[in-house]
Amino acid sequence: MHGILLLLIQIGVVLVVARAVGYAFRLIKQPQVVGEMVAGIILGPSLLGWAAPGVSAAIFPAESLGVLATLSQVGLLLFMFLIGLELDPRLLRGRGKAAVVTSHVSIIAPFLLGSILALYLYPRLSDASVDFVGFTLFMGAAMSVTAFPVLARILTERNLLRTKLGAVTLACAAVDDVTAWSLLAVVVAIVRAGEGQIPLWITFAGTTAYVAGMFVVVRPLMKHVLRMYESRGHLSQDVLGILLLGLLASSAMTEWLGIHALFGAFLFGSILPRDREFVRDVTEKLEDLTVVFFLPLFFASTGLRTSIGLVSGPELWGFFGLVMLVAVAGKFGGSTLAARLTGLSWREASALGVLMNTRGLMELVILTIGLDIGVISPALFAMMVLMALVTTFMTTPLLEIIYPARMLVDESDESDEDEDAQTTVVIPVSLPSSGPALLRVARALAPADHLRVYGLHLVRPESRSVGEAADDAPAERPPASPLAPLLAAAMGTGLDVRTLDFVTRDAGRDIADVARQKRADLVLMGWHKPVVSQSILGGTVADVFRHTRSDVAVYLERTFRPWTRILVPYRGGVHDRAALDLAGRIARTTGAEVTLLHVVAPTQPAGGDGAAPGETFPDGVVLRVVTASDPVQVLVDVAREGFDLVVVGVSDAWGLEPTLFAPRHERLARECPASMLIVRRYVAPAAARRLRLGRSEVASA
Amino acid sequence: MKSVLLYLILVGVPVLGVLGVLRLGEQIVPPAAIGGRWQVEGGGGACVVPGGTFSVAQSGEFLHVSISGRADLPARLRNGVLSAEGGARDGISPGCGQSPVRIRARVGSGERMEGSIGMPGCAGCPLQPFSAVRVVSPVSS
Repeated sequence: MHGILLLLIQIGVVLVVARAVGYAFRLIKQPQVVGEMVAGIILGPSLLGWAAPGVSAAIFPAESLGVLATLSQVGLLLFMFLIGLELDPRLLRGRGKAAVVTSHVSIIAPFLLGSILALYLYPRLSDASVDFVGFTLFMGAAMSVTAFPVLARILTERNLLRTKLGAVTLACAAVDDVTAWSLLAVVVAIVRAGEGQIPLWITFAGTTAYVAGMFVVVRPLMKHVLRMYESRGHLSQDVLGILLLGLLASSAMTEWLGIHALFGAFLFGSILPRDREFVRDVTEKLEDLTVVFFLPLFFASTGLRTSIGLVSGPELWGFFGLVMLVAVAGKFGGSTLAARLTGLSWREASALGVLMNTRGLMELVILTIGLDIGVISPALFAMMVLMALVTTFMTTPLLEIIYPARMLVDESDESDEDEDAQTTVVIPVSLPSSGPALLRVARALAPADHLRVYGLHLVRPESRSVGEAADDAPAERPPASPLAPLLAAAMGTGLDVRTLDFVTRDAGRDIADVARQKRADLVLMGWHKPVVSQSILGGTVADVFRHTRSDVAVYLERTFRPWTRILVPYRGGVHDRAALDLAGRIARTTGAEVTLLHVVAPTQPAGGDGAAPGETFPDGVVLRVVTASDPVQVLVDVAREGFDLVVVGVSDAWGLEPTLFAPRHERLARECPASMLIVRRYVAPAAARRLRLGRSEVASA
Repeated sequence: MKSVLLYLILVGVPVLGVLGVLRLGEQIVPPAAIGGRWQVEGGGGACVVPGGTFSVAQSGEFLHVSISGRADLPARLRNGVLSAEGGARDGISPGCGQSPVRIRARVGSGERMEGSIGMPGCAGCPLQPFSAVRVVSPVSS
């Protein structure tokens, strides 16, 4: 088959299998990258080559694999450049002694155990062509590595970035990455020097000069590139071209020096200016192509060289067991112990240990280098690849056991909780323009000094990169943030507004979790058309209604005038009572007049339908009783009499039930001319049962 | 002071441990490196290796010997002796069917081996003495 045609078929097969297996792994709540790693193994001799050798030989003939490997190496250069670019030095500063001790122990403990394992494995799985020092240092470095990108993604998805645990873990992972790569550079230099390729002193002297040159000469030059970027206001092709040329030159230099091209790519990325916009733009330009196109090729290339069949027989599987034991004991055990000794709780320390034990893609990169330079044998390579897969795969379920999502605690915010704040309102903002309107409602609920507002912005997982995830400082929020209008509206009001943003897979449940952690009195949401429903109270709103254990209100703004007349339709239900409470609070801060509209069915006496006989209402409330068979129509008609705001409890009586696909029920929301605040009071399940029981008893009586 | 002590214990001691391991490892003698392609000398074992060459894939003392795509034998290298035995695919030697192939050879420095090769269960291909030299190592292949 023609070379280019075969290559295109290979790429197509790799991409399809990688996406499919990655998707399957996402379904079982594993990071996609784990699935893609498994896809590589599936395409290699371990599965495809074993089950269908003819197909394997036709698609991946041995003589064609060099091209695929070269292409994947180019992708790895881009990937390592991005890893260096996203490595934030701020993560390494100000994390305290806990992070310093924990990060260093999380490197040295697995390194020591890896070295001890090397004593046992060297005479069994290595040979005389490999120097013991190189073998031992490689095993130590390979055991020490942590998958920074996978780890950052897991922390982001579990909302742990802003916790002390998340901060310490990220700092440790960043230190581990830099250290592991530095150690590996030393190992590669030693091995290549041993093969007589380049004298060791030339490698070390050259590397020292190269690193110094990168920091002293290239780094200042890159500041000029940053100025070019800033002057144009976007990442032009010229600037991108300069960056790619720099990446290639740096990679070529380190390859020539004998410490592998990947180090050059990583170092060039790490010396670029840490301007947030610049980093984000460069990442956006390169990340998708790298992650979607090149990384699966790398996984396939690795999988094609991984023959799990080499690990055969009880003795070799016993060696694999030892590798696993050492990997987990060193990384998980060392990190956990150090974190515990430096002050984290056992639960947090164990969670940190589990996270640090994630090897992922970075381990595969290091192992591939080890196999390329001949420092590890094919059987040991297969064992280590399996270890990388297992340790990455076990992270999410173990973390769920040790640190379940329901125990998520946002310490950075909890540490300064103000007990004096009497009313706490959580405002999830989806549409930026709805922020000021929702803030207006919140401000009307209590005086500014007795009110705390949490602005919440949830992001879908696929729309956020690792680089952004690693930097969550609210002070540096980009102007395009959906919370920006809300913050602008709060400016100068003296209101205590705090913002939270994180990635979510289940917005309704996460909003409910935040409300619970913040002990929110009210979750205040804006109206927006749900994706799968025309219903105002469908989609995420319905999920929030279902899961939140505090009151929830949905605001529909129809008029912008000040609230002077508030209408509260009332039939005595628990949600009607909540609506009346909210209306009363708004009236107290705004001076508005509250009219309570009691609609009675023609067949029922006034005060029926759940309203307790003789029920009293707050002073100043104007009571109006109307008999009608169509309460919604009456309400719409009365609202037209100059009311600015209608505060209504969810109820079938008003056609407002939080059910999905129920647009016909929301006639009131569509036809009411005034702004509306739809209120749902949280009723504990036991109380709800009592309420239902009480109603059925009344009905039967 | 307490932090410094903690750091020294948690980090300093393992560093010393690594240095100790590196020192200990100097005494270890690994198996000879014999991975690569081997050329049989003098026609010995021609009924097993008709093409005169075979290849060895090595992971320490665990080996796989491939003979012209006709046999893939799991093998072991212990105390300088290579032992391989396994079933051959049809046709490796006329009339021998799938009789097991056996190789037993002493490997010196890793560049030359001497021993016996054959299919003990087949009268047409008895164990014969042979010697072979390594022509291509895995790194350069």
